[in-house]
Amino acid sequence: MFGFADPLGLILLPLALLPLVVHGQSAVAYSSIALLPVDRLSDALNWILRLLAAISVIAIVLGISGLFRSEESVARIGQGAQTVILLDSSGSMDTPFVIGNEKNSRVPKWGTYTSKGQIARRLLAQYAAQRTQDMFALFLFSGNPIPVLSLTEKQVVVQAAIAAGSIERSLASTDLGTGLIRSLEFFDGKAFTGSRIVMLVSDGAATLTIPVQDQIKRLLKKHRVTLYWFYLRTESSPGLDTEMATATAQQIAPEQLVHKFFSEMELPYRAFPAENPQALQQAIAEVNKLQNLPIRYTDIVPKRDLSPWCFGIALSLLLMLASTKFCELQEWH
Amino acid sequence: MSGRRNVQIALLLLAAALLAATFARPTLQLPRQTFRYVMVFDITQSMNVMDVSAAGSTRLEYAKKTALDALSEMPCGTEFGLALFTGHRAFLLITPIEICANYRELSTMLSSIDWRMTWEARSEVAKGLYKSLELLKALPGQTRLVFLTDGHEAPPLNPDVPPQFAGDKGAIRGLLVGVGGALPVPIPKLDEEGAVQGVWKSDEVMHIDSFRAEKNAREGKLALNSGTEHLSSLRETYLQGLADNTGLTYHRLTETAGLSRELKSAALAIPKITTTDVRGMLALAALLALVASLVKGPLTRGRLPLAGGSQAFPPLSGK
Repeated sequence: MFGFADPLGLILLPLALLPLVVHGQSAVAYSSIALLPVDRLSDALNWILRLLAAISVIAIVLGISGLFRSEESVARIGQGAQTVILLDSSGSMDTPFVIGNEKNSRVPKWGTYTSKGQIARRLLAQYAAQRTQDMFALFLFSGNPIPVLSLTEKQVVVQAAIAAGSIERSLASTDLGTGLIRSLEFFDGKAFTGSRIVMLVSDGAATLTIPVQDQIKRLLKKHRVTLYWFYLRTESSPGLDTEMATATAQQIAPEQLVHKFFSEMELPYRAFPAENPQALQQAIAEVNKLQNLPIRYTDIVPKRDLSPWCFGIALSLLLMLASTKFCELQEWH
Repeated sequence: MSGRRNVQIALLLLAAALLAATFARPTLQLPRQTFRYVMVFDITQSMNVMDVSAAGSTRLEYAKKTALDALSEMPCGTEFGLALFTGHRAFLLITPIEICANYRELSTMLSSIDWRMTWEARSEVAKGLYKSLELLKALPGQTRLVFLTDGHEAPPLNPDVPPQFAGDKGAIRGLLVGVGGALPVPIPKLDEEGAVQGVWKSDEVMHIDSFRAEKNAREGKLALNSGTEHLSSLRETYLQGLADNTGLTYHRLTETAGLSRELKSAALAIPKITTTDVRGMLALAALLALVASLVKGPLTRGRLPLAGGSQAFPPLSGK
């Protein structure tokens, strides 16, 4: 498909008729033109020259109007994935990591430290920047799920969406279940082109009811999604794998039950507990390695400016016209 | 005669030279007016009232649609970011991105803004506005604010201690856009699916601020459960006051053209040195030279020496 960057320039197009009206050739005084024989060659030459002039006008006008070939999607085989980043935006993500934030006072003052949420967003931004062939979506969950960005391959947009949440504080509460279910909707109606990932970045503390668990399991299976959980441990949590009775876990570490449910789904899942920025970075690097299987993906061939071709064609035609001018007779004896 | 031919050749060569120059990809550094906005949408429940000029449309839907239409009319190079307001703050969804290259993503994001994204069932407009101005200040570069709201404070403000604006008046410029009708109307209650489940009743909302309500309760006074706070209208005078305090421009949303005009106003433009492609100008000059060379030849008045075709007399001799 073709298009014009400045379609307004096309109003100059009627100028192409000018060479057909005006011959632009030197006239020679002659007593009676009717006396001359019809010369088919001269007639042809005349019209060829006019046509060339008309074509050069058209070419220049198309160039001025910015003729381009639209971007095209081409199916390629490469490395890439469809990744939904599901980011916890609850207030706890505003706290510093368990380990790794230096100089934090007992009550950290916002703005004087880098929060878990900010570190996570920075590392995710780096991850996205490395994976230019992937499509990314961003979904936040707090009290209510906030679908921010549906799957796109545009890095600028992905980076802007990831960066946006780092500027101010996070929101209030957490509803992991609804967030996870709604984020899987991003895969609805999207062609399955290879690996699909949900990157859950959260510091836990959520309970999933049985119906919610069933729905999560069903959707993960339906959309063939691999779930990665980057678990950013809060200071008070014993972690994901401590030996603990279910009742106790319910009380003090609900994330253990969530982890248990994910592990027992018999679906691709892996948890990456991270207590500090380095651990999170390693975890993300590991996913980067895991997700290097070849997949079919759609590459966008960017739109191509064709105006240089237009100007090039016009240029060569003009040189031809100029050189024929040299051959024009000035006088006829 | 020969002079005319030389002029024609000179013009053709000039045109050719100008076209050849386009291949050097010449650019000019020109000062240009650009625009960069963050649009903050009020997604509180009062925005679900259907009292806007578009029939069957809620305030929020109307604000979204008008904003998207106005955004589409901005020149390429304009940047837009999106944010939500509810509770007492704004939450940034995306930092400003260029509208033409990213139109599909921006329009999808804008269209999917929904009252269900709310994180707090309060609507503290003044605080939300002040917080939005702080947020924009924290963004790198100059950014203008577009805050779309009906100005409905819920719970109501304590008139003795209204929220104070601590920032610099006029430090962040932009628009405070009022959405809604002038007459107070009931606020619909919506369920999770967005279906209307009745309206908010007088005894279900707070009619005075929490501070005085608690004071009354301590003093054993009866809770005040009558008033007009369960009804909502565009609080225009209030918003104009907020705009004056913060140095924003108040604009009442009535049509796309009005908003579009405000967004394109020179007062909100951000001067920027941009690199402009001048190939088009060179090519235009080449076109003029080519046209001039054509007209420089004799016009088609009378017969053309080489035109051939019909002739008054048959040729004396053929080939």
